Amino acid sequence: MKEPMSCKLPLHFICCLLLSVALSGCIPNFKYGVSPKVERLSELKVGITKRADVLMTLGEPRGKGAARFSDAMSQKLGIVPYHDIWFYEYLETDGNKVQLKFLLVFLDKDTYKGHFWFSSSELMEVERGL
Amino acid sequence: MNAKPLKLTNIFIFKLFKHFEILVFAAVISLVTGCNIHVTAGSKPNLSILNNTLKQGVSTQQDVQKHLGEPSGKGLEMLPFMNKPRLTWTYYYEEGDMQDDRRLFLFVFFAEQKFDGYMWFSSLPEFKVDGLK
Repeated sequence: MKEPMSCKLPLHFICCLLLSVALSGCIPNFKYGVSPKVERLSELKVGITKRADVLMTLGEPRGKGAARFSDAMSQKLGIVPYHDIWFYEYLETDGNKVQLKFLLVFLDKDTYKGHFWFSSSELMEVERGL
Repeated sequence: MNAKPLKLTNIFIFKLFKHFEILVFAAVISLVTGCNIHVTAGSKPNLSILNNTLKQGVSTQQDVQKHLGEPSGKGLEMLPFMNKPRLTWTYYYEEGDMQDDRRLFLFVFFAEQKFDGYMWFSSLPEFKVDGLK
């Protein structure tokens, strides 16, 4: 006669196992912001492209900032010392890792003056030969 | 030979439900699925200090620390157009929850031990770009 099915595992082990499974299912992927369109930066022309065109090309920034370079450096480089910054950011996290992509766009009043972007490698499209 | 039918009471999960631990288990799951955790990291520096109080070439590291607080980190910056590195202090602040997460970066530059400029950028709600719509 067959013995009825029974569980020999300790009760606390089962509790921990079920809790772990439930918790792992409750931690979704989080995504914040919109991935910056860095592939369109080549469409912008330093000293020529206006703020409205930057907005049309890259979309709405997620934030802003400012930079003040030293007067000596500015004179040496022939630039104005103060720039506005438009900040584009995108983050993904699964609770263990954080992947990010940041783009800073520098503006001198109404005119595009340059950019600076960086990204986690997982968010970059890896091209052959790089 | 007749196998004994599998009674519900013999299944381990129902034995589990009889015990106090399942109440704790249910409470934890409710907490995890129901609550929205708000987190902050770092401290928010007072950005108005940068233009209103600190003076390029005059303010010292002590002045910067007095007005902006202890930096999150320190480093060096040497960009292609520079002939020597500059000391850089970094400040970082983040706040968010499961719906949204935003941050602020501030870099303070020093040359010859004196305040030499800054760069900050932030996605915090108070730094939304004006006049876009």
